[in-house]
Parts: sequence; structure tokens; C-alpha cells
Amino acid sequence: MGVYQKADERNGRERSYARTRKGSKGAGKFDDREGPTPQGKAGPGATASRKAIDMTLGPHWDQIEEVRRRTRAFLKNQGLSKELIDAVTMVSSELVENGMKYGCFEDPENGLTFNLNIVEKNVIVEVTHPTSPSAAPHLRRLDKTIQWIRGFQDPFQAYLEKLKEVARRPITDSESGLGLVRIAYEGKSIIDFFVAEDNALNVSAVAGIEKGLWR
Amino acid sequence: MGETRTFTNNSLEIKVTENEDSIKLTWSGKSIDREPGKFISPILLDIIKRSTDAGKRVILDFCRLAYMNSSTITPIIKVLERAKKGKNKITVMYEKSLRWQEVNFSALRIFETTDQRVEIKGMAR
Repeated sequence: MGVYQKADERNGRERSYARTRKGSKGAGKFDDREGPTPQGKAGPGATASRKAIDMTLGPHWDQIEEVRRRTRAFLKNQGLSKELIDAVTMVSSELVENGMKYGCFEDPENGLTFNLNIVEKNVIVEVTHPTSPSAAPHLRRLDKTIQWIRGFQDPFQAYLEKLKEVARRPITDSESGLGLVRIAYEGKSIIDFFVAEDNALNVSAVAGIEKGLWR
Repeated sequence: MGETRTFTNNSLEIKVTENEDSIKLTWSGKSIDREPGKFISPILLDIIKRSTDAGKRVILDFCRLAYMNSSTITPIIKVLERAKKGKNKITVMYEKSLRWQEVNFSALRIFETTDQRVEIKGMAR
């Protein structure tokens, strides 16, 4: 465990899903896996099934569209609702965008890893990327933002507050700062992160399939 | 039908149609650039200036937009904030049957003014 622990662990909660790591790294490696499903779909009848997309990307913005395309196709194949597919595709896209913006890709062997799993009626999106020694300010901001979002009972209120804050900034300021709060609000997801011993940053978003409007 | 100009950047197209009393920006495709504001902001600022000079309402029609990243929202809300504090008339139109549009654009009602100078409208297909 690096300097930063999982925010959820600090809150006394535990993740309820299992995680695996693929050892290989390098740009452009894709692996869509599918485990058995009791009813053939990942909807309300799904239990402990595990279905996954694993992609390792280089820091190339154009590849985000491929993430979106594969995510959409994969979730559609699982029989999930259009609303959930749109939301998870957005979540995937925003997390990968952040990873490409803030990751350190000086070593061509170190790419950005995108994982999408469906476990125990949860859709779990994870993005992992190497960080540079100067990433501490970004990590502090990430931690602060996640804690700030969790301080709101309703993520919608957090989203509105962020809209107001960003809208007041100078027109020339291109920093958005809306991505994480959009994931919490529109994506109905719980966001978490940790820094591994190799200084790779892992950011995850977990959405329940049966919650709210999902089915 | 007034003058029409079309601006394209990668997957995003903004069609600007100017009539006697309004300037309409019809957004279509996807806005997925790393810094979409570089393309969007100059267009919006130019339109806002022209609408102010001519006393026309600006209509931002997002109904045909398929997707936008969060960085796209930034220049839009900055323009709405400035319109709210100023004198511009802006209407945001979105497709309310699309959940992602309803969720994103209905939140922009925080920029609405009571005199409907700035208004957010969910449209039914």
C-alpha cells in the first residue's frame, strides 16, 4: 500500500468484489472474458458471475472511443438496460480520460489498464495507470474530491455545487473538474482509489445493477 | 431560413443558423476531445457577442447530440453563468427522453432566470 489508502477502507467499509491483475503490460492489448451466468444475462438473476473486459492502452486519446465501443457492446450483450449502458459507458470514458490526463507514460511498457467486471450485481469499472513522483498534488486533489462527494447525501447536490463552482471560473480556464462528480451523479457510482506499491494509481467506480433506474 | 454555417471538429458538429430574432446552434455527433473548449468556446463567445449586438436569443439545441464528455459541459455552463448575470437571452434545448440528456441538461436549470431570459427546455421527440 502506498501513501494513500483506499478511501473506502478509511471509512470502515470493504469492497465486496474480487479483483485480478493481468501481468502483461503494453499498449493495445485487449481481452474480453466471459464467465458463466446462471441465467445467461447479468441482470437481476445474476449472482456471483464474473464477466470482464481487460484492455491495456497507450496514452492515446483516440483509444478512448474504442473503450466506449467495447464497453457498450459488452454491456449490451449482457442484456443490460440502455440507461445503464449509457451510464457505465460514460463512467468508463471519464475514468480513462482522467487516467490519460494524469498518468505518467514515460516508460512505453507502462500503459493504462481498463477493467470492467460484473460481480454480484455490481458493474465495476477500474482504471490503473502509472504515476510520476510529482503526482502528489493530483492524488491529494483526487482524495479531497472523493471525500467531498461523499459528504453529500445526494450526489445530485454535489453535482449542482460543482456546476456553480466551475461556471464562475474564467472562461479561459479549461479545467473541468466535473468528471468524478458526474460519475457519482449520472453514473450512480461509488468512487474509490488506491495507490499500489509500484505507484500505480487505481481508480474504481462501482454501480449497482438493480439500483434506481437501472432495471 | 437565415444564414447557416457549420463548424466541425472530429466527431462534433455545430450548425449555426441565424434568423431575424434568434441564432440557433444545433449540436450533433459526439464531443469527446481532450480539450473541447478550444473548439467550442470561440464559437460560443462569438455567437454571444453577435446576439448581444443584435438583441437576438441564442438557442443551444442539444437534442441530436449523442454524447459529450464532462469537459464539454464547462464552456457551456460558463456561458450560461455569464448570461444569467448579464442581459443575454439563451435557451437550452435537450431531448428529455434520453436519460443522459435529461440528467445532464435538467441540472442546468440552476442557471435559469425568473424572467426566462435564460431557460432550459426538455423537448419530447
